[in-house]
Order: sequence, then structure tokens, then C-alpha cells
Amino acid sequence: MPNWNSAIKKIDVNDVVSVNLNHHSELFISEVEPIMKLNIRGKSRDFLSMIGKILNIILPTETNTSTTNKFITAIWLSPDEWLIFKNNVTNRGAEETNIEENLYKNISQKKLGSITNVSDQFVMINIQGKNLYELLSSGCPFNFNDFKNKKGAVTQTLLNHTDVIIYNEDINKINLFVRRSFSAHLWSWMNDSARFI
Amino acid sequence: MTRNLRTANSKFIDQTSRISFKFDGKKLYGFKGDTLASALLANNIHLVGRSFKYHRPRGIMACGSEEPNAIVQVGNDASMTEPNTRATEIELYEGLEASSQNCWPSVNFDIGAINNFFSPLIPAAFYYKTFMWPSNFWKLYEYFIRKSAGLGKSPTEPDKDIYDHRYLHCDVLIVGGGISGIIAAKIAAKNNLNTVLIDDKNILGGTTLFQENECFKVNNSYSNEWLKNEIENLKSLENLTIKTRTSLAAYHSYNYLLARENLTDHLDINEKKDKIRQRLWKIRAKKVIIATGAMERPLIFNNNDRPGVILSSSIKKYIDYYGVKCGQKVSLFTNNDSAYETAISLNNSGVNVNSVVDIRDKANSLIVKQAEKLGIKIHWKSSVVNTSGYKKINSIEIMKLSDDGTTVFGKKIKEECDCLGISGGWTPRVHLFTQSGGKLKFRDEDNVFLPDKSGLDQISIGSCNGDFELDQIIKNSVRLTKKIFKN
Amino acid sequence: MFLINCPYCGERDQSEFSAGGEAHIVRPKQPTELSDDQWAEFLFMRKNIKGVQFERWNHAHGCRKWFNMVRDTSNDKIYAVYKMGEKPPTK
Repeated sequence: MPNWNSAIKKIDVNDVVSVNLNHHSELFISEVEPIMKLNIRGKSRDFLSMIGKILNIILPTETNTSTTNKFITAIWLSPDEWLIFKNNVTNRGAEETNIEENLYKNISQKKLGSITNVSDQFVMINIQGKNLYELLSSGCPFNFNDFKNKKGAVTQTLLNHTDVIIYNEDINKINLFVRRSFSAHLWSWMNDSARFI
Repeated sequence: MTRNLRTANSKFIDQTSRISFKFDGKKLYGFKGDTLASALLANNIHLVGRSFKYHRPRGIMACGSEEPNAIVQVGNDASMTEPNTRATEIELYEGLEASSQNCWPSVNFDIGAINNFFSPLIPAAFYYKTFMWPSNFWKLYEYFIRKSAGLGKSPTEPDKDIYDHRYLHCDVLIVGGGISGIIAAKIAAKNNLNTVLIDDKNILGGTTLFQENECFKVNNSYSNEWLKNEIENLKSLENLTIKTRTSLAAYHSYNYLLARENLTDHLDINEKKDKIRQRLWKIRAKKVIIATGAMERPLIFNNNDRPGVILSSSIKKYIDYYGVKCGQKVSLFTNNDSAYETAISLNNSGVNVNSVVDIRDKANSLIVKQAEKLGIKIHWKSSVVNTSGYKKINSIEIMKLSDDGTTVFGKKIKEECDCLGISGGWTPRVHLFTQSGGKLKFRDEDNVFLPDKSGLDQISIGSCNGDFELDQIIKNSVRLTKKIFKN
Repeated sequence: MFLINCPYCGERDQSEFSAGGEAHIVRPKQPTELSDDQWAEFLFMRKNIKGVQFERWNHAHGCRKWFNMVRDTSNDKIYAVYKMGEKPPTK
């Protein structure tokens, strides 16, 4: 199976700085891959406890928040939908397949909820730097004032008319999830907009 | 420069750094801090354009965004030229090239001015009525009519500049950095609210910035010194963002506002390169405080459109802020006290004030007494009835007003002057308020429209809310600002 | 452009939402028993009033949940936002 993620040009720090106009805006954009991402859906209490048992994580029920443990992070998407991703880049292997199969067996087959592997559907882009929110606010109507100081905060919004999920990993450091087919467009938009900050 | 029209005492103009610019192809000089209008006035250039239909001479009339006459074309590059910009809003930079519009071959000798002599023959809708027949002749007429229609020239090549836009969310947006805006900004920021203060000028302070008079004191110091100190204190407030050279363009519902920030228009031509020219701010504010101030009204009399007829508050700004004398012999025509401030400022800078023509019977305010003490002549209960001078005013005619104020009588007094300041009272700038859907009310005592009802979380403070006295402005700005944060 | 307080995600810009027309239109229990006119009435006929209206909205670019909203169509003032299945507020 081809790795679609590689369709996006990898840009390192120097590339980004070089497209800036005259002054340096400290902004580092990079794609994080390969990384496991799972979309899980379900409502019942059994579903939540089963997830907790398998992944050793309590799914966030508060809106726009996330929970994390040593290996994975779960982010809130909707009252009955979460996105789970691994904290570290790993080659797709037995470990990932095990988690997915385990969940499939215990959740999907038991009709508690559904599991979808979205590793190749979503592209995870890591953006960091002190001008990060200036970049976002040039294409996103979302109010980042509270978001940027709240570690673990999550939002789904539009960035330059593209659906994105933004996860606040740390101060001035975010992970951005975007659908693969939109990612090249968003990437070039970010490159262009980074010139202006 | 024919005469020296500069005073040496302006604190806002850096007279050590000279800037050269071109107007209508002529090389002229100004200083850092000047606007195009103030630099032209310092070079004794009043005539900057021609009126639209009759091509009557038009001079600089105001000093800010309210300027109706000094509309010029900036730049002559096919992609960068910009028509219909106000000379009063263009900050002077090295290499600026500007030219008059709607005149041919030049602003001094304009063939179109012939329309003025035939004006009785050219009534409204003349073109539409006259050039209808014979119908196949339209092709012939069209060329000339199109040529005379519209002001300025549009650029013919694509814009090379870079523009940006950005969203901004804040708790409080304050529009206008005059005295009330600064008071509101301080209160808002000290209330721990994320505050943004915007102003279209390059520095904060509004008109109080150059108000140095015994009659206007705050805490025993001149109002300008007090304000300067307040502005200095604003810098230490962490949650306050100040954006200068930013003008608000639209006020939509849900406190969604658009503002344009000018980033490079004031820079030298070689400094502009590769920088963003303007940035559009899409602002979402929880609360909006409008502190846009007021603008002076003109007065109505025969030939009040001649170059050299300037709003009296603008003359004051030109002398006190830019250090530019709008004339050497200035007459003033007023119906209120504010022209006396101008008279005193001019007198203090050594400009000869002919007289103040006042339509009122008498006024006993401190500022009038101060003017009388300086020996400034006042024509009480009189009116300017006519002016003369083609390309610039050279004299005015004054007559006595009848008791009921409806007619004039007696001998015409002719007074030589090279500049006439007019002051017809003040109009609060309620434009933003009404654009946001607010309804106005009328105040009979001084004939002004004031903000009344609005469905949005906003208030108007200061003179845009009808407070024209310094103590009132301060008291009510504080009171209203504190009130809006309570609910 | 107005702000909508999504009952799940909080206050967001209007551009994240899509409108779903009038709310609280009950689907007939037996569509097969209806005449064409009655079916068309259910399917197409909407009040489209100027004034306070009950509407369905979808947070399309956020949590993707449907919800109801009471909005004045003449000035976009939003009086209430409530989840699907909840009773509409009485004024």
C-alpha cells in the first residue's frame, strides 16, 4: 500500500524561514508520520469502560478537552466520538495492529461502538513557535485567546476553509489534523501565510 | 518657499529631518511628521484641486478624514498609483509624488473652469437632457462626457503590493485614541480585560494632544501634558494592544468589525519594499466603545468654497500640531466658542488675527474673555456675507445681523485676509454607531444627533456622545465605561 | 456573520455551521396514506417568516451535531439554542 502521506513535501525549519520576508518569524512546521490514529465512536457506559480497560485511558467527556497517558492521547471530537493517536512515531507493526484488533474484537464486534483506523485519512502536522497563533488567526475565525494557554485543549474548526482538528500539546506547540486530500493545499497555504507573520 | 510659514515651536514635527516630495511635478520640502496637506500649506499651496462640475478652485479645508476638497492622486506608477486619497491623511515620506485631480492642463490653469461662467446654462442633469439628440451623435458626445466624468486615474496594471488579513478576538475594542478613548482603555485594561485600542492617526491623543491653554486643565496641569502622561502610562498595561494608523471600515452585527491597518504607507519608497502594505483585521469584540470624537461644521455664506476657507479647528491643528500657518492675516467666522481657541493659538504663534466675526450677541466664557484680553477684535452679532479672491481668498465682507438673526443690514465692512477660519459648531461622529444599526436622537439645544438605542453591546463616549466640555468628557467617559463593564 | 453558541462546543463563528431549515416538522407516521398534496406540504412547504423562527442547524465543521435554535430572521438575534429532542423554549 502506498504511503499517501509522503505526497506532502517535507519542509524543515530552514525552508520555512527562507520563505519569510526579511525578518524571521520563529515557526517550525513538520509532518509527524507514521503515526497511528483511530477514530472511535460509542455512547454507552460499557463502551467507555471497555475502552478504559483496553487502552488504559479515560476518554474525555468534557467538551474540547483531551486526556493522555504514557503512550496515547484521546481527544474529544463530539459527545460520542473521539480521536486517539499515539504519542510517538512508530513504524506500523504488530503493536498497532494489536491495539486495533483488540478494540475491533471488543468494541465493534460486541456492538458497543465502532473503531475506524484513520492513520492514513488524517495527516498530523506539528507546528511550534511563538508566532504560531498569528499564523492560525490569519485563516481561522476561532478565538484562540483561552485555547493557547490551556494545555490539552482541542478544537475542531476551519483553517483557510479546510476542516481541521487542533490539539494544544504545549505552550506554542500544537498538533493539527487535516484530511489527507486537503493537506497539500493547507500545507502550501501555511507556507504562504508564514511569510506574513 | 515664498514666505516662512513655519513656527519653530511644534513638538510633533521633527524640523531637523527634511523630506522632499513632489506635488504636480514641483519639488517641495516638508518635515518628518507632516501630512501632505500640512506640507503643502507650509509651502503656501492652498489650491490643490478643482470642483467636479464647474471646476472651481478647491483648497485644503480640514485636517483629517473629514476633508472634502484635497483629494489627490498619489504616485504615478501604472500599478501603484492611487486616486482619490485625502492629502490630509497621507503621511509625508521621502519620494512621495502626488498630483491634483479633475483639472487639465493644470490645477492653476484649468480649461474646464469655463463651465463656471456658463453655470446658469448647465442646470442639473444637463448632460442627460441635452445629449439625447440626435440619437446617433451619442458616439461623438460620449468621448468628451466620459472624459469629464469621474475623478482621478485608476491603476492600469495589477497591484504589486502584498496584503494580509487576520482575525482578532478581544474583550473590549476601543475605537478612537483621543482623550475619552485613552480614559476608557485605561479602565478596561485595569479591569483585566483583553483590550484593543485603535486610532487612524500615527499617534494617540486626538485634539487634546495640542490643547495647551489656561482654560483647559486637568488636575492643575494643562490638558495636553496630563494626556501625554496618561498615554505614557498606557504602555505599562499588559493586556492592552494599541494599533495606530488603523481605521475602522465596517461595523457589523454581533460586534464583528473590520479595520484596516496601514503598515508601510508612511515609509520611504525604498523601505516599503517587500513588506506587507496593509492588513485587514477581522475583529470580534465582546464590547465596543466608540470614542470617535466630533467634527467641526462649516458655515454657510456666499462663496464659502474658496481656497483659504478652512475649518477653524483645523487651522488650530495646523498651527499647534504641525507648526504651519495657514495664513498671515487670518479672519475667523463662528457661532460658538471654539473659534476663540484658534484665535488665541494663532495669536500666541505670532499670526495676525484680523477679527473674529461672531453671530451671537455676546459670550462671557473664559476663553472669549481670554481672547478679548489679548486684544483680538470681535464683530458681535455679525456675519460674513461674501468672500473674494479666485484662486485664494483675499478679502471678506462683513455685515451686521438683525435682532432675529434672519437678515443682515447696514454697511458692508470689507476686511483683507488670506485665510478664513469657519466654525459652525460640532457634529458628533455617530457614523459607526448608525452603521451598526443604532438609532439616533436629536438634541435641540445645540442641534446635534446623538447615539440613542442600539441592540449591540456597545457605548459611545466623549464628544461623539455629545460631550463637548473637557470636564464633562472626562467625567462621563469614566462613568459610562465603568457602567458597561458592570453588566 | 453571527456567532452561534453550539450546545456542545461553545461559541463559534457562523461559518462553521450550516443551516437546516425550519425545525419541529413532524414526519407523517404513514406516508403511504397521504395524498400527493399532503406529502408535498410536509416535504416542501415552510413558513419562512420574518421574525422569530425555530430552526435546525448543524455544526458541520465542528462536532457535526444537529441542534435547534430560536432566531429572529430580521436581525439575526439568537434567543435560544437547545439540543435535538429537547422541548422548544416557550417565550
